[in-house]
Amino acid sequence: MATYWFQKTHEYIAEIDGEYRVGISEFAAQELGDITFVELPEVGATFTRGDSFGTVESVKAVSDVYAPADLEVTAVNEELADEPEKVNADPQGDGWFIKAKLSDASQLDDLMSKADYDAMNKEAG
Amino acid sequence: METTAKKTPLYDTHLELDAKMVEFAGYIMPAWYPTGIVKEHLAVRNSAGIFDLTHMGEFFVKGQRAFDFVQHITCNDVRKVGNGGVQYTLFPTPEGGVVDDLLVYQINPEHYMMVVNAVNIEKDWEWVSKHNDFGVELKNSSDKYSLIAVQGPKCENVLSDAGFNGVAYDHPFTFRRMKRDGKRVYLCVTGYTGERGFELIVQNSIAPALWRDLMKAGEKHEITPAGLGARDTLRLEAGMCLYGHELDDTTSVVEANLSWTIGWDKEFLGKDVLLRQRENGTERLLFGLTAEKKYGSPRPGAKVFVEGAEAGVVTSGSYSPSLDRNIAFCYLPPEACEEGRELSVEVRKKQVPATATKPPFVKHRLFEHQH
Repeated sequence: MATYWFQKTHEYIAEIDGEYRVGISEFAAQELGDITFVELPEVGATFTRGDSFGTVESVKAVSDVYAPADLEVTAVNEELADEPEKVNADPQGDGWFIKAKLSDASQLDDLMSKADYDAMNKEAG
Repeated sequence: METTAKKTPLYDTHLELDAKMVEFAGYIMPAWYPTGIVKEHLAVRNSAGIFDLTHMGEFFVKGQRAFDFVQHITCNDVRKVGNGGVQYTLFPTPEGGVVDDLLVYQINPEHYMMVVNAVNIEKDWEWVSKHNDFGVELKNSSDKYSLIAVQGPKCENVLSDAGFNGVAYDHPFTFRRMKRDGKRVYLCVTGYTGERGFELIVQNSIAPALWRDLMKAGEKHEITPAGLGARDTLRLEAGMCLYGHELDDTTSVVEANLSWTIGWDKEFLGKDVLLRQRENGTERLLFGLTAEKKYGSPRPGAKVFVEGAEAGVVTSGSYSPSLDRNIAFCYLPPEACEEGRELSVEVRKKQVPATATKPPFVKHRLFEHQH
């Protein structure tokens, strides 16, 4: 069973089988269009909530991706180097960016539920 | 969307197609459709794409001295085209800049159409009005005409099936005036993709029906609606300049490697500085570079380095769907404009290796027919 939290800048963090994964939301992937390049951090790197931990590039745009919580990178999705299009195909599944350890899981409470996030996008759209 | 931007007659059509709409040059235009830029781009290379380019501006020049006026204000020599001919040309400034690049259509020597860039419609209109010392009648009909482009190797099949008779791509850079549903149509053998293609300049009222007819006729030719995103990647691969990137009021026609458009045997506004540049050379020239996909794409403004020293700047850069590499236009010192030369280019504050490449990045295929 997976639980997803979202932040305003369109990254999600998911808890899947006790592991945290971070990526960009389906909404963000759709807005960016065809993704051609993803730049990811090194395993072991640490980021504070709000830090940029990588970039995602579509044909028309380059965007930073921001840490939704204080975290340490435990794995990066190496497949995105050759197949960045996976982010479009399945952003909240196979198109994840990093796996992470959180130093303070209570920070998740500051993020949005899927319902709140969807509502935010609907309002903005 | 709260905006004062103009809607084209195809606005509702784009919404029905679920396009991602963006504001560009004062118009709400489709950036891409759910298909995505890469597939739209490849459809134009492999079969056919259809574009709404209604934002482009249309001016008409009429009068006994229309030919003299066009000769004076543009750098290309209009004597090279006859009636029904189209010419790529520019409005140079006496200071060595460019007001705009455009296509000139000769209906006859007393009647021309000019198609100019959307971002420059107002500026161009002021420019042509200011330099009308020839007593010609000028008309800005930009709000009356829509432009639909069908580009790609199957373009002729699409047009024929949509009821355009005797359509052939034998003569690029020509046009015909005709009527469809009783309304004026300019059927132009022109494009901005490097592929065979047509551009249909039509009165607004028939644009939605024409789009529908072309889409229906194009079904069996795998036609795909394509947005401004694909238009940009296509023209970049084809090595075609975009005003505001490769060209602006500080770049000269010579620097932009467009000397082939200069009619040296005629007088025109801004000729002196171009002549001097031809004789003395320029400090920079427009060239290209390519870089591997794994580094991400160089973007406009990125610095280019030759042997470690900053030497130039990227003006347009993108992932190239046809080459699966990154490509860019850049201004470089003339001595660095050498095919295969090793460069480096800034991609998100890091220098990555790149190779100097002479545009076009993808060969034009205007004469390759596909049945």
